[in-house]
Amino acid sequence: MLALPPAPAPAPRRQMLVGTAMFVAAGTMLIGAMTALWFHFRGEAEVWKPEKLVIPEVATNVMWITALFACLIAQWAVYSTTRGDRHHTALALGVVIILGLAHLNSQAYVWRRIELPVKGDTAYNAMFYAITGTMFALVVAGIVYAIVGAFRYIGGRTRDRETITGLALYWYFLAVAHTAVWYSVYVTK
Amino acid sequence: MTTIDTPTDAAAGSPAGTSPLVAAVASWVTTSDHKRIGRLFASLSMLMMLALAGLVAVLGFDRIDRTENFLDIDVLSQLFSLARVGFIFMVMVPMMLGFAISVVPLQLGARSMTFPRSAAFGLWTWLTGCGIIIVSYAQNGGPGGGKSSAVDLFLAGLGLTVLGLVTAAASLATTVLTSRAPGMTLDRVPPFAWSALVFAVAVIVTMPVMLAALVYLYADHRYGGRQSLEAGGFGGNAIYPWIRTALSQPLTFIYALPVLGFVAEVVPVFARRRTVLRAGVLVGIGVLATAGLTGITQIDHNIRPWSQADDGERFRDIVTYAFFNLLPILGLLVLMGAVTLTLLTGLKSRSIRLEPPLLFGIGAVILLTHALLTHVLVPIDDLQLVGSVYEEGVFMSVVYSVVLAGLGCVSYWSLKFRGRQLPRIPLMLLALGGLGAGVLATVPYFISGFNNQPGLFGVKRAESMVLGWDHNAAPELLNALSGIGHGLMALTVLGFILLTQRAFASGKFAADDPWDGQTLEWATSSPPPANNFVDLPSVSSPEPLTDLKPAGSDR
Repeated sequence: MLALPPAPAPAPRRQMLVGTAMFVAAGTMLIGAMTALWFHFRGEAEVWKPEKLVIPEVATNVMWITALFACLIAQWAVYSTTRGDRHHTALALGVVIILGLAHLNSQAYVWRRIELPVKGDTAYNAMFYAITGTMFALVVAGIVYAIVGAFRYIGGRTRDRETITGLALYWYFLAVAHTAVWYSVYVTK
Repeated sequence: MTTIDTPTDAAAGSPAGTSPLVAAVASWVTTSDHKRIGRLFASLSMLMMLALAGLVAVLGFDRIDRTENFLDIDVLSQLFSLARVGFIFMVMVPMMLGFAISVVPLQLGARSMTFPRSAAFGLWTWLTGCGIIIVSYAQNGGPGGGKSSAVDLFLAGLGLTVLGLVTAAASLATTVLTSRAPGMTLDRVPPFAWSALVFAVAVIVTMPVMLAALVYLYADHRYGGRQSLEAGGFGGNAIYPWIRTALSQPLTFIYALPVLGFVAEVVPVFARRRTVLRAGVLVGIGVLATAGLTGITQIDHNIRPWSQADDGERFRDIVTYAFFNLLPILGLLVLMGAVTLTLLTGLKSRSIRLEPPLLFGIGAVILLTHALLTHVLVPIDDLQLVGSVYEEGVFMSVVYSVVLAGLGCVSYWSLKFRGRQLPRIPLMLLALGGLGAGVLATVPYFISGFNNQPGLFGVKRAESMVLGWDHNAAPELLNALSGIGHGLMALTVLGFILLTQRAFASGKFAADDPWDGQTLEWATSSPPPANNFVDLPSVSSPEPLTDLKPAGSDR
């Protein structure tokens, strides 16, 4: 075995951030493709949205607002952890989790309220559940990420800023992705 | 969190009271050692390759007689779609991913890969998905399946497979971007690691697009009104059109990128020269990937018959055609130019050695070049090659180039996997046999494609394509030759597996650096310790080991 000179200690690496960016890239392609499918079907259909379908717009707008607020609060967590403020970091992470749960609750409310069967005369029904269901799953992943980050932080890894920064990046992605879904599914319908 | 504080389990012993077999299985199932995860990916995909090569050989023989099939027409249709889906998602992508996961962290001087448990999750998710796909086909599922619940199963299985591959690719890409040894800037990474990065990013970016379609298809097919299967959607009476992008060129070319990385890796080692015009290698891979990546934006980039197009349409056709079909060739030419120059400098100084990895690499790159060059004719509508066996020949050339590169990876890095030397002469014979089999299996398709033989990987039902077509050449002979080629490829893979297993069990122990390597994986022991390196190596050039060795003639 060749004796290579030992290298200096490795520089700090941004593994969580880069790793999260990779998953964000995959998520962006996933939601982007779904939105493209939505517009494709809508452009092809003579009658797109079922006539009697009424979407509770207050709930859908609340979902959008919670997504925007969640990424702002995640950024607050990054700011607090940079300053070494443990209390505010923990509080911010808790609020992110609560906002995420509120988002899921609003989505479940919308599904329950509209009573739209998956089986329909057009592709609208299945596409509606496919795109909103995928967004739901991505938000669940964001909540799990926030819970893991919070446990690690509260458990004593207070210098682990990477995880909190990665978490904020993921919630930024969720806010943008949900804005695309909200605009295509609930605004322009 | 860093990779360094992630413990690996390579050195873990079996707990007291547990049988050795159970402990061994448990240690493999729960492993977070990147070398084991990568080997599992590669070994399993190699076994699937063996099965699929046997399958296409049977299918090749089945169409020797164009008036009668010995397989039921529905079974035939299903088996062909299994072959195409399987070659991409069970063989090509996981095989390249597996070798990259095993080797790239060693090449980077990393003590582990980033997120090894995420990669392990990807492995088991992929394997579960593959199992579900096979079960679904056994129950008449698949894209054109007759049993509704089995088709749902197929969609779920393919979705899981894609999810697993994307997860593992994300771990691999993060490793290359964040876990390099001090001094190893991105332009100093070995060619194979560079190609693995580009390949992993390509998987991350392209596969979720198909996953989106699969989620919709599942919702629509299982619970919905099956609008996706109605004419007026994406057309056709099957699911195949929805997943066609991922199974077609130029997207398949980017799944073969590590082939080029492997060749660019071994040629300088066996030529005993540093890579000439190294930037050309990195840029060539990038250019090829660009065309492949943008391939997800549109499927059809054909040149319409000129008599049916005005000047504006002709210009648009030519621009898109050139981007998607000629740009990959430009990338290949740039890369191969650099590799050929390195080879020539080795020949000039008579320092070149002919070893099995080099032969496998040359065979793989011949088949890939063959695929890239022949593919340029497919989109020209006047030639009527779309849907013919010609397209099938291009696809199979890409597949077999990946397989040969995979065998080359084992022959080159097996020392780092098991610490044992593989026999040289039998491997060289297998390399030549593999190249011959690949050529024999695909060249008849190119001839038959020009003689109007319809392909079997198409969108329509097989019965409209298998029988009753007109052929101007000698179709029976060509189809028989092709079937023999597929069979020989299956035998090559089988022979390679048997040979390596024997050598791994009782072969000679190898030195740490028998090839006189240039990159960091050869600086550690064979096989490497649990954390890969005792000391983190220092890097000041793309060939850190060459820097340390006594200056040779003109290295």
